Amino acid sequence: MPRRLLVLATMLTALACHAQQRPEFGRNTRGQAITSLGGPHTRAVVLFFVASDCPVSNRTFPEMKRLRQKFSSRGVRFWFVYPNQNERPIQVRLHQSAYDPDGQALLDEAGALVRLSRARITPQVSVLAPDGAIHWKPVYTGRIDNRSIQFGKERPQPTEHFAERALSSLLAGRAVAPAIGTGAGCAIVNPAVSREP
Amino acid sequence: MNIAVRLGLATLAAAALAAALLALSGNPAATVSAQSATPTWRRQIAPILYKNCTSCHHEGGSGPFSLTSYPQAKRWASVMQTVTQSHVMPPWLPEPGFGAFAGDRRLSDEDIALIRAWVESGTPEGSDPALKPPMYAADWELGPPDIILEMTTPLPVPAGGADLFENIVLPVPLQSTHWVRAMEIKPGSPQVVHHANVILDPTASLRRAHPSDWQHGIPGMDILVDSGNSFDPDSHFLFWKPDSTALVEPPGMPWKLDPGTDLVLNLHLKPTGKPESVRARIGLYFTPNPATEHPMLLQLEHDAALDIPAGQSAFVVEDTLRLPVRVDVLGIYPHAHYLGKKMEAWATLPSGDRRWLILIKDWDIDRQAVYRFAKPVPLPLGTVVHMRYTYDNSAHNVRNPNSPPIRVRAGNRSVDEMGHLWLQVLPHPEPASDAPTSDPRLKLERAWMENRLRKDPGDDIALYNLASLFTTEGDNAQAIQLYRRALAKRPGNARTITSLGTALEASGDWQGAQSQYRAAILREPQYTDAIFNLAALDLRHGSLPEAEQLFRDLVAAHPGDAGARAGLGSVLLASERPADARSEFEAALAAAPDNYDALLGLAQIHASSGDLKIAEPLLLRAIAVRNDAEPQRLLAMVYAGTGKMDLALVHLLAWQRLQPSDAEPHRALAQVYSQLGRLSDALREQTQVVTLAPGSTADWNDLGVLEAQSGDKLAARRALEHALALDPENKAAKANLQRL
Repeated sequence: MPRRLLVLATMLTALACHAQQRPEFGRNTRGQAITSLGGPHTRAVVLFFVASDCPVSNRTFPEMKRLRQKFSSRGVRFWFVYPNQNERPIQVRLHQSAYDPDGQALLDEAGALVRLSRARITPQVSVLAPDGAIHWKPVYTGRIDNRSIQFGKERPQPTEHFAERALSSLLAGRAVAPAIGTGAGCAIVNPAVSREP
Repeated sequence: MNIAVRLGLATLAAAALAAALLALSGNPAATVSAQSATPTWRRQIAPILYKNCTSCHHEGGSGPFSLTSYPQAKRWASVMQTVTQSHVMPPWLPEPGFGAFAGDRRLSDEDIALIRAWVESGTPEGSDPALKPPMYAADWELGPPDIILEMTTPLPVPAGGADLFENIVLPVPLQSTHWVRAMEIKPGSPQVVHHANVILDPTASLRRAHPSDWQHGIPGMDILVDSGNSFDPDSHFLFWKPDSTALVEPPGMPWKLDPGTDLVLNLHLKPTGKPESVRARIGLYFTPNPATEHPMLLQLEHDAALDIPAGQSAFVVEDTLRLPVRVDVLGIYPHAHYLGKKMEAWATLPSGDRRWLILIKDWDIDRQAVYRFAKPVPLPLGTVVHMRYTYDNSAHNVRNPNSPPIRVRAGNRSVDEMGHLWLQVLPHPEPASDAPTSDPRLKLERAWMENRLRKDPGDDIALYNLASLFTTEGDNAQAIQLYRRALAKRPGNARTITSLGTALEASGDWQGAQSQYRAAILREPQYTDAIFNLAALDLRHGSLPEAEQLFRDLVAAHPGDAGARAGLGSVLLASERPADARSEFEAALAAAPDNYDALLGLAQIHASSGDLKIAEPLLLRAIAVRNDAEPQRLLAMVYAGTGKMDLALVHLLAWQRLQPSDAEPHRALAQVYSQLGRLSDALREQTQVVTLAPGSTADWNDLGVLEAQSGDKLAARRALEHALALDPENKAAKANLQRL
């Protein structure tokens, strides 16, 4: 009996600790912490890694917006993640309003989402699936499409839409194909991430 | 631990590489230790970037980010390493060793290795004194332009999608011909405008073809404009790319800008990801000195052969052009769309030697440019210029706009293809065969057009241009035949019908000309050239009411058209309504102070009413515009009327030189010489009169009188008897003979 009580007490303690340590994914442009990427009915979260000074991610905004328009009504939540540590909220606010005023921006100064997704450049997409009540796990991190081949070389229009395919698969309950190839982009510069082994 | 080892190796490798490069370059710094030879921002990298990159990559520049400071360069270090090693940046397509170009932007292998070593060694800043970055003027590079042309409305560029190719018409508000020594294009949004070409449209043909939308941009990668009737070929590359500054023409080579010419700004626009707008400006700088050297743009192409099957990865199109004159090649502009892969151009000299003009192994429309040779490339007469382009229409060509690939032909859209090689050449006349005044560009034009016809006998542009050449040379029969062939290919073309009328008129068939002009007007009721030509024809043939109506129609449609105003003035003058004519001539001169017909017509009115002092400067201006017989004659009369006999003589002689086979100037000269007491000169001129026009009794009588005055009674008698043989009842000749 005492042993049972001990177990229950341990569980209660663990739950209390867990409730106190809600993950912080980053901050919005008003400086508020983002502790939830999606609600209870969110079936998938899409992180678009972008940078206000990256011409390649800038040129990809129309495609990212297209995906948001296509999938928002299907329980998918979209975030524009600014992973570079030098990004300032005002800078991101101006950038977001120029490229996508309806988009939700998230500054990942601490590198939480970069660590979670293993994103390395902008633009890059990470499609997250629910992992319990408040956690998420990446099922695809990679190129959004195949338009950009290398810096200065791109297709007139993409012929492969990787992010769209990954999302469709996830929502349909199919296996998500792994990311292939590397696209052109701007390196993510975030010492909070690169300091780690 | 692993990371530390890796970094150490990279640093050593970079240092070793840099040391090796320095040793190769003979730089004394190569003797320093490997560790100290690690490139730093301050010592090696900043100078490379300031020389090669920051002209675009500065705040407000066309590059998407600035590279003028160490933190900025550090931010983009890995990108710099990638794009310099792949030669994507700086943008420069020609292969080294296949043509020597001014402003060669290809980065040296040494500089590329230094950037790589710098990045791999952790982008050290270094401790040397910091170099001051170059300054870039935000305003006009050459100071305020003489005239600025600006798009009236901004052109919207959507956030995404394929690249746009738009043509913006910029009318030029000039009333007289100007010579442009320099031009600067300010694209307005330098990160949106990828490149631009300025095309001269001397007849405002694009604006006429798009009356409702020309201010908003006319889509199309390449455009054709109507160059008009006069031979004035394109002469200059007016090209802009992101690193362009003011385009200053070489001494003696300004380009001509006539009133009525539109500048067409052909823009390649790249969406940036957010909605943008472009409002470009063009600044022009004039010179009072007309061109003394006349370059010409020549084109090799074989668009008719561009029919590329889907999947074909090495489709070749070739063209050759034999040069009929000696030229210096000043610049070259290769052009294809997205399937172009390899571009080769070379010249085979009469000696058999081959001289490379350009080689591009991996064509990229995004990085296209005009390339100007470091030194003019001399090509002798008989040289054959070759063009050989290879196209890749397979799925492996990542730039292929069609997925999956489809059959592609020549065309103006980005999904079509094109294969053009433009050369800017400075032709030289051949002293042995050409008259000093002959224009060697005419020979080039002929060779070019005949070459086009060999490739495509139905090429109506070539037929038209060749016909125009024959008209210029006075071979109207050939011109008429070619115009008819052009019309068979493109029936109903008002310009060609009108030109056929002009050739018919020049050949003496004015009725045929009249019917062609009328046919052209039926086809295109507002076609100014046809209306004007018909009006002028009616004026010349005395159909004054018809001519007046046509000119009035033109004036109503184009109130500022000086030619129409002057034409109407001429009709009114011929209809003996000098007051009405005068107001039209004055209106013409207000619009175009150099209008020849208005100057002459107004001078005639003033001379007739005795206002010789007003007539004199008008005639001098008319002669400055066009040294023609009539103003010379009239000016001589004006001077004679004001007692300035010496000046009258000068202009009579000028008149005579312009009409060497006409008796009239000799007759006038004989009279003036006689008045001046220069009897032998008068006698010589009168002898010329009866030689050129032997059927006039009065002329023979005058010759008899002059012979008598000079004491040669025998010759006088012969002349008077000749007069009487022509007209036995001539009283003056009879009396003179009796007196003799």
